Amino acid sequence: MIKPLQETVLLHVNGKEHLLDVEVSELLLDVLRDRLGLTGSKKGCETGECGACTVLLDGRPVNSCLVLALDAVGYEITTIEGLSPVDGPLNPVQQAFVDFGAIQCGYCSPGMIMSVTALLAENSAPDDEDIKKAISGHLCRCGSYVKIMDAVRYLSTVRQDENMKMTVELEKRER
Amino acid sequence: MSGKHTFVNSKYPRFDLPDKARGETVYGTDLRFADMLTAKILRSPYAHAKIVAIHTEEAKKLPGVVAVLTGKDHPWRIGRVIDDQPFLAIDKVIYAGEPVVAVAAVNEKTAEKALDLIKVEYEQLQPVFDVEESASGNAPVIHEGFADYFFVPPAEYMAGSNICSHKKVRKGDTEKGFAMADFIVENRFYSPMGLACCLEPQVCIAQVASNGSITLWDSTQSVYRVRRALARVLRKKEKDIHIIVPHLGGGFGEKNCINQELVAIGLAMHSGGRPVKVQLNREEQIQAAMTKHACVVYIKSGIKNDGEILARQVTAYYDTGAYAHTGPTVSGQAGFTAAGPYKIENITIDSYCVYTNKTPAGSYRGYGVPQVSWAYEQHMDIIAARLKMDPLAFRLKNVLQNGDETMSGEIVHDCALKECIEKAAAAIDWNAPAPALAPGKLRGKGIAGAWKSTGAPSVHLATIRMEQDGSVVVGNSTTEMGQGCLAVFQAITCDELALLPEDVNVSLPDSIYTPYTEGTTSSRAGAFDGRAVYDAAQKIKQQLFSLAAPLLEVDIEKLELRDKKVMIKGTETGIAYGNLLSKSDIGHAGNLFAQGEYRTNYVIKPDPQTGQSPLPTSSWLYAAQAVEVEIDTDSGTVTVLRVASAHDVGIALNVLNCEQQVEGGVLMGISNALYEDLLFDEGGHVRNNSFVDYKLLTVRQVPPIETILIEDMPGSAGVYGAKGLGESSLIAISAAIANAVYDATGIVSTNLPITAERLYWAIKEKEKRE
Repeated sequence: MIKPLQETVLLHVNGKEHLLDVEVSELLLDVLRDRLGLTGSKKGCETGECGACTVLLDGRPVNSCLVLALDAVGYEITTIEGLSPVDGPLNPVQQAFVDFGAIQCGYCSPGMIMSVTALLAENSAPDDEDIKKAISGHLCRCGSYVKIMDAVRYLSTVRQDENMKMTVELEKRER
Repeated sequence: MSGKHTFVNSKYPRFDLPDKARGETVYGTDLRFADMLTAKILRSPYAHAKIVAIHTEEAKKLPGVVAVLTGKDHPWRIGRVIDDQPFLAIDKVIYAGEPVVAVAAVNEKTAEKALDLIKVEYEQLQPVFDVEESASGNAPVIHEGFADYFFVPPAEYMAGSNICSHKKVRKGDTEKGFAMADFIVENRFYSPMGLACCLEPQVCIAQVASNGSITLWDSTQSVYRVRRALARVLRKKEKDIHIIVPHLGGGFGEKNCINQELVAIGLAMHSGGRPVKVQLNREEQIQAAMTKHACVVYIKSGIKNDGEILARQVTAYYDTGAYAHTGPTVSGQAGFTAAGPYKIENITIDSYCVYTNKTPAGSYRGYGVPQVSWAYEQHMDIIAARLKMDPLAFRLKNVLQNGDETMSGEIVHDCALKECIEKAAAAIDWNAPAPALAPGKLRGKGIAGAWKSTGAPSVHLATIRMEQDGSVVVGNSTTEMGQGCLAVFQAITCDELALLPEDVNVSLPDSIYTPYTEGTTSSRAGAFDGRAVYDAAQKIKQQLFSLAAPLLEVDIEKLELRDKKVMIKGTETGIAYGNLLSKSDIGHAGNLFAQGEYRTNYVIKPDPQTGQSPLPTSSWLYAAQAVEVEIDTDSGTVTVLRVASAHDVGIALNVLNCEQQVEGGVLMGISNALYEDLLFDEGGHVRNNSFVDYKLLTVRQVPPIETILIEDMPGSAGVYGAKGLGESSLIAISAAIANAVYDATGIVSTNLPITAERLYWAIKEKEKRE
């Protein structure tokens, strides 16, 4: 069996501390998924091209398949599991993705939602260009882009009038 | 089969989405078990080579390695139509990337290290990559052992050939039609191989018990087809192969075929009962998982000056790569429709499925139809230009309508294709003149029609179990891969049994618990499996009535379901399901169970020599897609400005799902049209094996999309008259874009994709000529 070099590290994930022995070459994505059971961050390409593994380091989105676990030490790491309490309601971004049907197979959704969450934390009124920039590193093969844009526009305070219309439309959907 | 709908035909939210938004939904890649081993595959560096020797001794000695297998260990061959694919190469490799040795080890790094220790000696053979050359009879034969393979029609053995099936349609007298024509138009079109690019790669976990029974956790769209093939090849009873299908991170047809199952099972058989996980990485996924068929199409039409199409001849060569997978049915079903949805008296079609030494091709959204649509829909515009007719008017003059006869002699029924074409065109203001444009910019509009037959015959079963509290579990083997069928089945159940979504759970496929269905393919799960769910609900309803009638002391005819209760019609007297099923004074009823079904065994198989059949399929998909593009002549870049996609859906089972399917198909289609091209070097290796090099559309290229759902022509097959649209949303878009480019520039895009580079040089050449 190949036993690579290991180091003991303290990782801060979703508000909890984890003392772990990690291999020096181990990716943050693998540690999150395989050691901490946080499988919400998805493995789509392992080379930073699809965005499905996006997590936040101190609030900034990164591809966790491109970050060594060792390099995540000292940061507050937020994964999709950290956005809303297990028994509680979805956070507003998650809820908007659900309401607008911005999710199909769901494999890209955690990554998309992390990037949108980071965007809105920085800029509560993103315009279309801001939104596109925030998610241009994410691939969605189901082609949910139209509805993702709708969901984020709804969350953006830049379009209050339009949001009123969208709210009415959403209420019509409710039964 | 109609009635008032509450949830069906609305936009109500899909119940699978909140879990997906939380990242809680479990996909195959998320599964892990105690003592699970990781598999890695050593692949062929050559496209065609004899295997002289394989040295695995060093790898076997590496601590942590549990199993090392080659093709000789289990000479299994498997396939969907032809059992042509060994689980690992036997004696020779026939594409670059073919699995040769498989290793199971305690972790990924150990498995990878073991691969490094394996040496394979090859003797290179002459490969063939060009599909027409391969079909010519003058190429090296790729499958010398074909005669001994197990295969089913439409596959056929042609000695000394790389052709593995030949679909024919013969209607009227094509030669005579050409002779009577005022003019003839002939074209050749080409579509390259492409990839489904599911974000979740293929994954399969296998565990083999000491009694030989097998459990698989498999990312498949077709649990029962896979199980049947595995049982046949492994000589096991179907009951001893238990397949569990988690959520899929995309399917698009790619996961309809046999994927990694045998590698996982083979390794698991040698791993002492430990589960073995095979999960492809992106590079493997691109180079060796499954592609869309490349296709060469020759199309020739004889035309009258008034715009009548007298005769059409189509010859299509589908490149299925090294292994057939669904190739013979793809080329057969799509080839069948290759003359297009138009009135033509005389038709000759020959559609071939051909092996080459490339990555195997299989199912891909549209099942071969986008490739022929790319040809016949552009051909229509070329003819229209020759006639000096508006391409829209030319289509409307010739489009098939109810009562017309198709290429197989079927009388068209339940068809709103003409309405689709009219509405799609109107939605992009077809007749509005182009606005004034900056120099170097051109605009064009294009439209294309789509039709596709649903695979038939097919069998769809579903169960409903009502628990003692009146809540319900629906059992069906449709794979949830993003299309939202679970929510559709929930809605049907709610409407038929007067329940709320919170009362209805819908299972994922599990071969022990959920009954047979044909596979989550051919755009039919919502409509056809939905009909089986509907049927099961009717049976549950009857059981509820039978239980309640004596208690309520009325005849069954006086009962109805309302608000989770069996009620006496026109009164407020009734009994709640929960009370009915758990009532102890009459002895409780346990739970209720019913199996519903829908079978399309009424279809009539087309004659193999002529393709003629009055009822060749259970249901046709009809759609039309119209686009407006802007071209930057300095760079050749095509920007899609807007898209209208009109679909003859019968009824929208869930309006939100329909929009998702249409938008998704349109965007996949734009990506196919402008960017996607699987490139091979001269040795047959995939050159663009990453998402950096294999270009996909991103959010930046997304135009406004208008989804038009036409609901005034219910179909006879699907539940409530529903028809599918998962594939028809993709079929015509590439041709519509090409037609818009033709409108703007006069340039025909014979080859997909319409890259900026190709168009730039075509514009330059045209300028030079003029």
